Amino acid sequence: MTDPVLDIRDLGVAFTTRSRTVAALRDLSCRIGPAEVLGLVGESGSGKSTVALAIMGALGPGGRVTAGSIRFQGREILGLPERALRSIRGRGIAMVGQEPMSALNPTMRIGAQLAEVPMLHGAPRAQALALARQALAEVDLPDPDRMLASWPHQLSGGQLQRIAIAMALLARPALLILDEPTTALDVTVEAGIVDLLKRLGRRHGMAALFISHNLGLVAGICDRLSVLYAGEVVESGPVAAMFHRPRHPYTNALLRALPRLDGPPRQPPEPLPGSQPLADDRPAGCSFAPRCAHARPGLCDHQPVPLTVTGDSALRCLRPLDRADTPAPTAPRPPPAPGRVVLRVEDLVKHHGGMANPAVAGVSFDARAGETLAIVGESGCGKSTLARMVMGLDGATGGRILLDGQDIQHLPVERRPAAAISALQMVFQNPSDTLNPARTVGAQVMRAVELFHPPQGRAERLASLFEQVRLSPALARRKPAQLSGGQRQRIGIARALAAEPRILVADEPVSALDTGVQAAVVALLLDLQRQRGATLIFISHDLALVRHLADRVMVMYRGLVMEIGPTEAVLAPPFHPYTQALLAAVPVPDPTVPRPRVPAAFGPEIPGGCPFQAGCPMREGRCASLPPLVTVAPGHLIRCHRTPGGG
Amino acid sequence: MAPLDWGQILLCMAWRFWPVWLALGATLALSFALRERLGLYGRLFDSATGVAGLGLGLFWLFTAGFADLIVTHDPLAQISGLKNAPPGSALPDPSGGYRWYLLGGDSLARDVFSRMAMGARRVLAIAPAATLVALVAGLTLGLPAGYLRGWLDGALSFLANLVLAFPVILLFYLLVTPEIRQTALPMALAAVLFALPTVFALLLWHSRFRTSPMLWGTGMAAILGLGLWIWAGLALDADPLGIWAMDPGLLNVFVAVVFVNAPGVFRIARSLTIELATRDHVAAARTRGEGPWFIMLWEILPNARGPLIVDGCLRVGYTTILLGTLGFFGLGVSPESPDWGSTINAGRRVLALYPHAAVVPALALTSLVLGLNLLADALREGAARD
Amino acid sequence: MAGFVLRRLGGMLGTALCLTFLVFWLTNLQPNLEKLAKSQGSARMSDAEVASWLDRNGYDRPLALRYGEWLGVLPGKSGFSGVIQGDWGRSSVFHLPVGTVLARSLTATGWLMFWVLLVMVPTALALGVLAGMREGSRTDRVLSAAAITTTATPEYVSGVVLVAVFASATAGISPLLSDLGLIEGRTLLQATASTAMDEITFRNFALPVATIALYGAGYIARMTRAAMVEVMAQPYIRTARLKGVSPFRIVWRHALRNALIAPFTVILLQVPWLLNGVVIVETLFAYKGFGWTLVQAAGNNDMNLLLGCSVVAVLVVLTTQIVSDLGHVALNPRLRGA
Repeated sequence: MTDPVLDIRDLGVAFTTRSRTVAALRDLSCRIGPAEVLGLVGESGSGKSTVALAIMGALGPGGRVTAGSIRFQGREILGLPERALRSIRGRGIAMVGQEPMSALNPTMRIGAQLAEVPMLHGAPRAQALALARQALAEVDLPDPDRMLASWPHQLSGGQLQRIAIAMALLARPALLILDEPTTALDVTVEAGIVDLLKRLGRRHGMAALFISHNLGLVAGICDRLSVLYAGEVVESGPVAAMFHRPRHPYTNALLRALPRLDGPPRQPPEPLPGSQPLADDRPAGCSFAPRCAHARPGLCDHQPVPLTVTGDSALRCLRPLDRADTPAPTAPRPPPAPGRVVLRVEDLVKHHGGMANPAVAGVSFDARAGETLAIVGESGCGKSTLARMVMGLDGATGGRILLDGQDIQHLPVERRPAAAISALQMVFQNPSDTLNPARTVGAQVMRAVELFHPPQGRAERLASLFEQVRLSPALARRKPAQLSGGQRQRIGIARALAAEPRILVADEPVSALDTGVQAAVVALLLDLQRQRGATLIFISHDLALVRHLADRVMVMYRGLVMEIGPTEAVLAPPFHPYTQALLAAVPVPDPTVPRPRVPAAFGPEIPGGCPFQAGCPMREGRCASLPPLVTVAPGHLIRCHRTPGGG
Repeated sequence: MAPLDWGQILLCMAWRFWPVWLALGATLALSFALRERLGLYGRLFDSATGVAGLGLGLFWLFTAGFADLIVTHDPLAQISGLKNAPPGSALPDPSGGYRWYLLGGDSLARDVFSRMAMGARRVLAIAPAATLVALVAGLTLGLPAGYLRGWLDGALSFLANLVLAFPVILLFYLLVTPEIRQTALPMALAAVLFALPTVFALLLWHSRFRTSPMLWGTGMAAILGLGLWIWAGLALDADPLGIWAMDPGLLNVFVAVVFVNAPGVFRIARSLTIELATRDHVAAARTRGEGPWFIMLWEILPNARGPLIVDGCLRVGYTTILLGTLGFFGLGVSPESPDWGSTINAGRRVLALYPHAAVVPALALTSLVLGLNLLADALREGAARD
Repeated sequence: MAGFVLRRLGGMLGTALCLTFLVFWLTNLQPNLEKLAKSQGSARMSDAEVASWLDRNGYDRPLALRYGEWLGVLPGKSGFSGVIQGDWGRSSVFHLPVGTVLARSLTATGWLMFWVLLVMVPTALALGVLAGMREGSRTDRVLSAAAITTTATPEYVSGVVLVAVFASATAGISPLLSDLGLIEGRTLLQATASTAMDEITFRNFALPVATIALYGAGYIARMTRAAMVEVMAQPYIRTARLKGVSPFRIVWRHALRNALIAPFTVILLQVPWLLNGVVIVETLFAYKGFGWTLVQAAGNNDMNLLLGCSVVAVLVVLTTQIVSDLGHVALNPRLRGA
């Protein structure tokens, strides 16, 4: 076996705050061979980013390596003086981080920032700029001269991330560290970046460490995989074996909590109970034991579990699974009988400032009693603006919003009748923001109860709400900061339920949560909806998730409905090209499935035409005019000139 | 009697401050023991800055409180022969009283040490109270300006910038004069400014408890009664029981200081509100039909408390400086008042020859402001770690 | 951009009008007018005499009318002659046209401000950057402690202390130096700056300049430090560090410009506060500049001069606000051409 590019052994990292020391990584070992891509997967707080920082020697104040070694090309880099580390950082190891928006200096032009890298290695300015231009071409960015003269704020997130990658490549590093490089990006942009990274890896034969929380992404790009849980590697091995025969119950649970596009529909992902322990209160035995269905009391909760290495795989488990225990597919949940229309939106328009580029450009749809309607789209498509207009949080520029036949569009929420307020409630996206940090969660839910419930029996109502969202009433006395993200979302749901709404609008309620927790919150929302026969409007960017829970799907792009119809019909041909691009961009958690190449753009955009023309592989002449929404089957409408019967 | 040397002077002063040491030690010890349960205040003990700031601030607070026990002479009494006497001078005829002028005598032969101690009482009687009123006034206007925006915000912001564009000293020269006290202006301003705390408390109570009728009624009545009583006494000098009253000169100074401070609070409150109003929990409150005042006072304000406490702390220091400035220019205070600003002003005339009369109150003022600034720094750090 | 400047100028004009009207109103309150009558006529005037004096001099006409005349938009006794036409009236204290008094005093204050800014801004920025480069280092702690102390020391305190230390014949270092024969005269520096009206020397100007600069410098240094600390924690600084950029280049090329955006605003908004410092220091050191003039005008209810001073002060404050906005745009590419 050739010498590894990077060899980490028994690494321990601890962070010291004013009051105590917390071990962030324990006993971590991994190696990356030449031209090998290692995936490092874990939920938030598992310590995966700490690994990258430890390698780069950038743990910051308070962080320090407590044990182990990190060898780069056979040379120990822990404890190297700053000057030696700097030369390794420039030439040996390069890193691309998570936030493209803030990773580039806002007051330096792109050209100057890119050229700085070759110039650090001694290239003269002109040559450095030529190299920079070449690097831009390599990451598929058109119009390099304009790019080089741009300021970072003039570019999109996807473009900035490509520039960050170009900057890393300019150093010709032996090892590239990618720390969640696509997490902040839209799914179609993400697919493009992943595609680019794969081709670059093949071309340069570079070793890479790919850090991600997304098992689907990792499957497509990595050779080997390490799964991190609470600061420890729990399982590692070749990527195919890990996906097809996971042996650690955690790996298995992660895979099963992932919503998939392949496999049977209407199978909501399987929740993983509980949440990852915080670094300073790990259980005595196996860290995963408290959440593990497979754990045996007296064995797993007894003492720390050692890592067992066999061949090129490693496992930290006393009761490994023999084979992937795939669940028997349960019978698909039948779609509800179509109820009466409770909410009708007609030609809703929202302009921000000028008349150009409306945020919402004439959207119409119905929502029926008892159904789940999913609104799908990427950032900027207008789905959140739409939700805020329906709720009365933002005013619309035009159109109608009919609640039980009554137009409430012109009424801001403050002026809506009490019945309309209690009928329409909302669950918000960001768990760190959805609750008032200054008050206990019990008081916040209680306030909602007070508003909708007469003085008698309020305490009982509060208790029953906590029970409905499956939270212990003991949590009521806590402040939001003392709850996990999933618990906070549950409180947000309980607060909305206090009004006994008939329509619940959920704006990306799970996108900020870890996979396992995400599945649990989705299951909760679906249960509640079914019990109460309420209408659920579920806003999401994730088609794979929507496939399992929605009765109908509405796909939006740049403020327009591109396609709307029953879930099965939307996710099967005939497709709108944008729906198809969204579907292709969903990462498949299976390394053996081939992935399509995603080109960056297909042509210039003609104003007034189909909004998707620039990204559409099927673009043709008539796309210069806006296509109408055309019915292709009862209840299934598509906005595309190529649709049969359209144009 | 021989004069004291500097070592003896320091020892004697330390001894005079005994009630302060006692109170300071007890407060710090108790707070330190309970620091885990005291939230932001308890976290002050995590840093040297916090302890130093708290120590200095409390030192002057207790000095103001125990000033009667600390002073060695009547701060207004003149003793012939001790005009501009150097620190440590002995009294020509002690006759039972304290035998030295510990920090010397001023140009009117009064005891500098006693005047310094009494000066603390003057400053700490006005600065925190004025800051509090300014804080409430700034909040009552800044919250709606930031939350409701529109013409209200435009008008209030214009007014705030108007006051802020005034050089402070010019404003003082216009607002704090014997002539202005003959007009109804200070009283009219006071009537508005002193009404705001009551209005604020009423809104606070109403928005929170309107869903529980019994509690609502009792609370509103209690606040209204108490508020009207205090307001009538302080602003209109018409307290039937004669408990709440304010000297017209003091009222003039107080109103001017509040008037200068309130726009600053307004600006901070407004920008904090604009930022916090975009939070999802505010949107959630709107979707369940909360009124604007509940959202401002119970969803936004509690989350702005960190920056506001820090600002309040700095502002007490700033107000102390302003009061000194007023004294320095001889505005709004009687000539014999022992407040630090006018003492510095009186002392600077003989500064080149007898520096002690001006330097002593100068150092006292700086140490109080320094303590408050340190406190603000430590609070800011503590709040950032939430 | 042009629209922005025009809007700001319009706002500035409105503010200036409101402020001068306020000053006009406050100086023309009845008790102030009575005091004026008594100071111009005799101190023992009866109420009736006061009333007739006011009547004779046109002070009993409506306030808005007299304000319009002062401003120059309404005709007065001698046609349109007001601030707009350049006629600022006569100062009752100095018995000179207000324009002359202001020109003289503003020149004097200009020199003071020039030296203050020259000393204060570079020092404060350098110290702030130095402290903020590495948060929590010993340099940082020492500089921060010094800065917080000077911001807690108003000018009337630091001026008094500086005089006691450097310019007192009985205390501080002067007696010591004098005994050793290191200085001529009895004090190292002068405690008054009145001679600086004719010729500025280190001896007569060092203390006033230091007194104003000390307070502002601490404040600017603290702002700069805070901005620097924040910038040094940004991901793009980490990107630069991970590229292998040297620490010096990180500070000089990557951090400095970003870190100076915030202090730039602070420095300019500091100018109005410097105005306060100027008033105190000029009074303390008997330097007959703008601040000293303002105190004379206010103390003697010299209406025309006081109004002139307010116009100048308000213009200074509002101009700095606009310049600060424009500079902010120039430093921050994000706001340019947007």
